[in-house]
Amino acid sequence: MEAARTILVVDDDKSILRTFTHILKKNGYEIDSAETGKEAMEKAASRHYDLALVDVRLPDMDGTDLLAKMKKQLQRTIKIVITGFPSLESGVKALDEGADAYLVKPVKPEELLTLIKEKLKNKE
Amino acid sequence: MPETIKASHQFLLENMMNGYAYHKMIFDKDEKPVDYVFLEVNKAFERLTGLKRDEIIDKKVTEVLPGIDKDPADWIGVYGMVAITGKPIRFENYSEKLNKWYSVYAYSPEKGYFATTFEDITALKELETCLFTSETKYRRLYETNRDGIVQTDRIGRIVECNKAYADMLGYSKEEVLDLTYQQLTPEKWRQMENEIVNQSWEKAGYSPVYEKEFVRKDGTVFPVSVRVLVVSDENGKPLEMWSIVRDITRRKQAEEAVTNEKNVLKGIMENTDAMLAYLDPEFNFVAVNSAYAKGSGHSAEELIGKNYFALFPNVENQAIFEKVRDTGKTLEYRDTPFQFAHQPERGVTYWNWTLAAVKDEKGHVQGLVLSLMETTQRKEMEQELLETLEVSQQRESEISALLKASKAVLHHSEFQHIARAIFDVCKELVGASAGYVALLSKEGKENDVLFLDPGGLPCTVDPNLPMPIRGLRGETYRTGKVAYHNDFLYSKWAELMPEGHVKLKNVLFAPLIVDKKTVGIIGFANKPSGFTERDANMALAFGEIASIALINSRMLEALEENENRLKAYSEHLEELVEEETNKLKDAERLAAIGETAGMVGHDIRNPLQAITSSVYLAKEEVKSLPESIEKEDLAESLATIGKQVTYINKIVSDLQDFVKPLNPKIEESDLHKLVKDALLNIAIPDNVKVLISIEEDLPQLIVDEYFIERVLINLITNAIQAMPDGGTLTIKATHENGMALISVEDTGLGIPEEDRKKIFKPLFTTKSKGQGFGLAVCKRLVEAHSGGSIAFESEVGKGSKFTVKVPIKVRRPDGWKQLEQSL
Repeated sequence: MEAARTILVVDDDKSILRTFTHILKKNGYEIDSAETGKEAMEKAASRHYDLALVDVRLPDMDGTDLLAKMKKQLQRTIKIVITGFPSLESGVKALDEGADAYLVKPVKPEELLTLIKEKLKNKE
Repeated sequence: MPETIKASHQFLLENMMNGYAYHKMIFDKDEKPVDYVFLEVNKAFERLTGLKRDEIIDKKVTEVLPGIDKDPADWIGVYGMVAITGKPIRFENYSEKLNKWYSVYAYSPEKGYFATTFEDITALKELETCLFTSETKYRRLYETNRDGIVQTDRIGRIVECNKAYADMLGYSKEEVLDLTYQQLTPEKWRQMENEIVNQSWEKAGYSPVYEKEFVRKDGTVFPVSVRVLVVSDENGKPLEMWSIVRDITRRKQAEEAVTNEKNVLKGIMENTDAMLAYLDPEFNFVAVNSAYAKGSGHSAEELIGKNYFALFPNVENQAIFEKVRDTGKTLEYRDTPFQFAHQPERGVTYWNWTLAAVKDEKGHVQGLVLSLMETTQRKEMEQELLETLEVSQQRESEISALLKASKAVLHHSEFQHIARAIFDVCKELVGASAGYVALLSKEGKENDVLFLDPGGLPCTVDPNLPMPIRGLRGETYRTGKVAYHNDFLYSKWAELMPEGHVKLKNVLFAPLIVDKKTVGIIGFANKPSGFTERDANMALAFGEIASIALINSRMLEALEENENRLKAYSEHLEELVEEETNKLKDAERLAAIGETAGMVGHDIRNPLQAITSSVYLAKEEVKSLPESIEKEDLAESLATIGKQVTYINKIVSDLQDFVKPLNPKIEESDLHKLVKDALLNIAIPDNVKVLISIEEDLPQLIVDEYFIERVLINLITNAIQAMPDGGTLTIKATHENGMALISVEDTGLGIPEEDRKKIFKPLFTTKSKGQGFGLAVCKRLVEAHSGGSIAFESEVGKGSKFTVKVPIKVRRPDGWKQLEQSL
């Protein structure tokens, strides 16, 4: 069995972190979570993640800014941005900073799993 | 002319006992008197000389009495001296021609003229001759003679006298006989008399008659004429001296009176501005004053004796002169024009003239006095005044006409009325008999006649015929200046006149100017005397007034329109205020919604995400449970939670859509496809029947597909919800004027009256369950298209119909296609 894929979930909402971690773990992924941008940066610096699921609105910074700051560390990481308040600007900005997908909450878990699976497979 | 003086003078001359004659002396080239002409004689003259007035007046004495120039008395020479020197003389002489003795007094009232008064002393001479021959005769004569007769001795003592002599001196005969004639004579006369007496004594003859004075007994002095007669013996030795003395008080008085009157007359004649001439009944000049001579351009010498009408021939005047002479009635004329034949440079002169007849006491006309006073200057002044008056009257009528026109401008607001009033007063003022007022047509090519005054002449031109801007009126339109022509029939423009047009003798056009452009004209025609520069100026002034009226009436129209708009606006103000307030409220609501939208995005969607994820997990858990009623219930509850999450999410989505700026992506779209896609998104209940009717030739829509699909979804969803008990959903599409009309109609509940106004507002819903954004979003999406709109019709209990209007692709005309191809 090949090594489990690693996913970093960044969201300040603990319920979301908990349920996403639960769902993704059940589907065989290795999950790390971060509640702030700062925490996410530290975690991403210490190890490699195959995929990062980043909420646009974080307490200390914007999710897309976080992508910009961690461009180097997340160079080989698939980056999915999730937002509760979608707008053309924030979508374009996210894609510009290297996001691979831009999703609007509430994301249906089935669809999220399909997307992650697809993205990771494409990466291979 | 002082007729009374002249008349009394005339009377005196005519009726005195002494003969009177007035003559003009004739001189030869050496100024030697050679002849004289009789100018005037009195009755006594005729009686004393036996010559008839009619036969001698204006005749030379040498013609009347041929040979007189040879008379030893040398009448001509003696009178010549008087006429030259002006010194009067008195003498006694015998006229061989007339065989008479005369005592003559000659004087000259004017140089070259002389007058004579004389008496016939032939009788006296005869007396002297027969004095000593007939004692009886002598006695009778001596005592009855009215002259005093006195005999004195050599030293002057009175020897004998008749009664008349004593009487004139106031003494008795006895008293007188003690006196000398020297004692009876004032001192101043004595030497002169002494000389005369001595001469007479020496030559033993008679003295000429001389004049002196006597002193009466009472001391009063009186004039006398005296002739001394020295009687001598056969040897010629003087014996005694007789004197014939006549009291000449009355004659002296008469002479003085004549002299005075002549002087008065002369003074009056010469000191008046009037030109005076005295004419005899045949209209020959007898006398003129220097004013007359000067005024007539002839000297007095040239005039006297000449016939008036020989110098100034005029048949009419002659008739007048004859009438005055024949009737004796004075005629007066004022300001009679006269032109001098020999002085044409003086032009027409004006005269006041009086022609008066001078009559004798019997009323016979003796002559005419012509009195002339030139009034040319006064007449010219009068004429000038009259002209000034005329001009001022003209100005007054102009001003009053302008005033009338101005009043018309103030009193009427309709240009048609004002223009007519202005036209009428101006027409009257300039004296035109026809005309019109016209305005330039909107296209600027024709003259639209407001009204026409043909001046009573027939005009059969079709009034609907176009009146192009050309000819003389074209000039006015082009230049903005007055134009007139007084010989229009023969002008180059006459041929432009249509058949049946009023005959135009002359025309005048004045412009109506608004904003420096000629926008109309006021035209006049057929002024009998022709148009003048003054008329042109007046017409221009009236044109200006009309222009002001035109501007006014156009402003009034605009004002009225604005007023109506304002009125309409104020009438709907309440509605407008309500509408605006609502808009404001909407804006406030939108701002609040916008603010909430951001918060909602995160704060609702985060929990939704958590719920969604939890439901997923729970469903997974439930799957592993054994089959049971509880498991089914649990699955159903989880499904309900899932549905409700979807619904909440829809609200959030709508809310976010609503505040999001719209950036429609406009492209050609097929409505069939859009309707099909929309229906795919909606679950249609079995009890709802769907009818689709889209025009076959409906062009492609020019819209944002996503927007229109969402609009259709919303409208179809609402329609279905309005028919809980089923019904028919009809989707129709037609097109007109470049817009597609897409309607979604239901046979449902209908919208209650009170809700209709609020239906397109956000967060309003009639549904117990509804987010209240559907129609507000539809409106917003539709209106994001050019010309896009949404409307509805509804009837409670019957259903509603929403119609969306969006742009379609406009088919270009065939010509355009050809053009494109040819390019």
